Amino acid sequence: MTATKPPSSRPPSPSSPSPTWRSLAAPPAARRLFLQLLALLPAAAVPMQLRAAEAVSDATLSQWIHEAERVLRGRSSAAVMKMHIERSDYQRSYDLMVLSDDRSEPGKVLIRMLGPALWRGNATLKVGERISFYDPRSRRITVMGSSMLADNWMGSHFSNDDLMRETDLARHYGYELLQKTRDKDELGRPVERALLRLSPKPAAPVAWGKVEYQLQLLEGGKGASVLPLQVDYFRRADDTQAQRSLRYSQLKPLEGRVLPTRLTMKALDKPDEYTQIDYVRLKFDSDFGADDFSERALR
Amino acid sequence: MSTVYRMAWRNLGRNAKRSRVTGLGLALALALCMATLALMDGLSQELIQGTTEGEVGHIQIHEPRYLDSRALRRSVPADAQALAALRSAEGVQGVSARLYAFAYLSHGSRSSGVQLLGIDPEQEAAVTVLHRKRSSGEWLSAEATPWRQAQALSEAQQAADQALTEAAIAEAFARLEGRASSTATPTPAPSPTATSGADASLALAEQLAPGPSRRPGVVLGAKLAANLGLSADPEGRWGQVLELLVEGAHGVQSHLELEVRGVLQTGLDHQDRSRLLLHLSDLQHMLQLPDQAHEIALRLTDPGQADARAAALQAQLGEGQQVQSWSQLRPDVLALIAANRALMGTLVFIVFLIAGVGVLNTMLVSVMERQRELSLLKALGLAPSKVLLLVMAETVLLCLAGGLVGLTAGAALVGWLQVHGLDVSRFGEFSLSGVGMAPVLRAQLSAAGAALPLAMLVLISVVSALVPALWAARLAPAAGMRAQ
Repeated sequence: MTATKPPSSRPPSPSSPSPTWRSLAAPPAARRLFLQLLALLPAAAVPMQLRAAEAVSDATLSQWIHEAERVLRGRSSAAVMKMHIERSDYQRSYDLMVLSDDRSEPGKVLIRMLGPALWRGNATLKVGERISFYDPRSRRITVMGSSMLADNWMGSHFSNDDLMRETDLARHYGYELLQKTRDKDELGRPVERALLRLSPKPAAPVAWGKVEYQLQLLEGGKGASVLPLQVDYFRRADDTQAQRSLRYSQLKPLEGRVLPTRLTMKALDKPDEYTQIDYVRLKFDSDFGADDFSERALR
Repeated sequence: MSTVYRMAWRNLGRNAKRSRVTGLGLALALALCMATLALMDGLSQELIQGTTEGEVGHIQIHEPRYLDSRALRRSVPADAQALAALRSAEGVQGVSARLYAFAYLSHGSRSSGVQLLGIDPEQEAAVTVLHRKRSSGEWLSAEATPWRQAQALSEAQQAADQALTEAAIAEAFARLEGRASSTATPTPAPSPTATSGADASLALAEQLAPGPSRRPGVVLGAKLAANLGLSADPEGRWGQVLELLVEGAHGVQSHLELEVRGVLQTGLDHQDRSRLLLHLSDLQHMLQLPDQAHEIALRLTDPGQADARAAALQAQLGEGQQVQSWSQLRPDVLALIAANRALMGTLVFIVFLIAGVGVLNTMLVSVMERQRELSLLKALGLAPSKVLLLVMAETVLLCLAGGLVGLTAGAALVGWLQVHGLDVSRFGEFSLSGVGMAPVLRAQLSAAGAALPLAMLVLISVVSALVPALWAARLAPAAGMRAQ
């Protein structure tokens, strides 16, 4: 099936052809058309491939992950959520407001703690590599580098990286479709479930040796919509036991779509521990200004 | 029998100059080997002492998995009762509880990651000499900073807290709606109620997790202080205010202001660059680990008992705590000492091998010169075994005489090195296996340090005497007397 070639095997882009290539090439307009058609072929082939699981292209898988990862985030988003932390030595709940803006590089995230008293007014801001913490009690802002990304956020099972989404699964990993089954989702809608195995690319700056991604594909009126179901993170590529697992559940209408509203992160070496995030309110495509993600906004 | 020795002694005197030079060589070899070995012993001693007194103590107690992960919550009880029980154990001289954490320290625009070490200054002084490493300013004060008592919220306060959270959520919702509408509504100026709400919230937080009633005093590494741009005023006082961001045992960051009391110079780069010392009780409050410690270090009256005491203590404390002696905690130090010993043993062997060849040469020449005389003695009926004994006796007497002089000179040299030491400070500060060493190497005279070279001397001299002695014993009298 030549149509399912990955995008990397396309002819070189017009900006960097060799001299011979340029002299032999078709006129620019015709070449662009040809390239566009070539790019469209994998997308056109998707409905056909749903029957033959092993033939889904890398680009499609990457697209699925990308969509699943962005499903609660969009290009920019604002959300009010509750976080509940269950640990063997403490339980705790936070009310949070999370703003994110990915419309331009660098990506920006602001987490503001709304309650309870001990943490109200605390804020974490990430702009690019820079993480700042604001503590209203000392009225101080502390700035940190990206080395803090792997640390747990405020005692939860989510790392700063999880909440700030620095690691891009769609970009830093290669994909393999392990299985695809027909099923029904929580709301009884017919869906297809796909299990993907993600292996880090050789030079990718990632913490996990393997990620197993479960997602569901809903065939609706306006094309397939992709929702994440569960992500299992493995420390090493040959591990059979995941280090931790993130589950998406509680499908509800939100922002005009049906979206998972509960995220549960479990550390699998401690079976009774988890952190749960419930989305109370979500708004996409907010028109944030530059000031919304400045250190002034923390105060 | 004594005739043989008397003859042997007189024979040595017949070429007194040659005998003296050979004897002097032996004496020199012995004296220098003794001095080197004594210096090496001194270094080993200091290494052990530096390890135990500098930081480790003779015995340490940890939560069994603490050393692997250094996780904050893997602590052992260190309340007054537990510490008193340890202190009253047999052979224990001092007990010091410590707490470790990592934090982020800033002063003005400069900041640095630091390792926090919480110690009780009085207890620590009974175990290590950390307090002697202060290079400027004051040491930590003995009494802890008072912290206000935390109080749970009353029902009314809980309700007020709930109301504040709901107000904050409502405001967040309002913000979301405001953003979503295309007409950019200006953010409303913070109303007076919002400000009072923030104040009320801070008051509740202060009640739940109160801060110290004054700034806790700290002592920090000299290089860390320099990196933060701190220096003492002309009178040598510090007192600058530092900002600390620290994550407590429950995974929540908190800010704290600290005051610099003094500066510490251990000579170990990583410590001077990253360490912040504060009172144990302050750190317990900051980390929310009341009456807990990550490490309890013990000093014993008899360091030689460390392994036995550690085992006894382990049996007493059970599996919840891990007791280790300094040699289990720092096997690298022991390995370093063993490697030093092996190296020195080899050196002594080589020196005496060379000395042995010298003795061999002297005796061989001496015997060949006396060929006619020895042949005559044999012809007169001196048994070959007696000739052998005679030559052996000469060598042994030469070695013993040289050895006696060497021993005296060596003892004097070692004595001088023990008192004055060898100043190596011009080579700069140095540390071995993470133990800072004194700039003056001091010798440590031990019986083994003298016995090993002396034994080597005797062994080598006997072996090197065999060749000329056998040659003399086998000499045929008639042929020998004809020789020139």
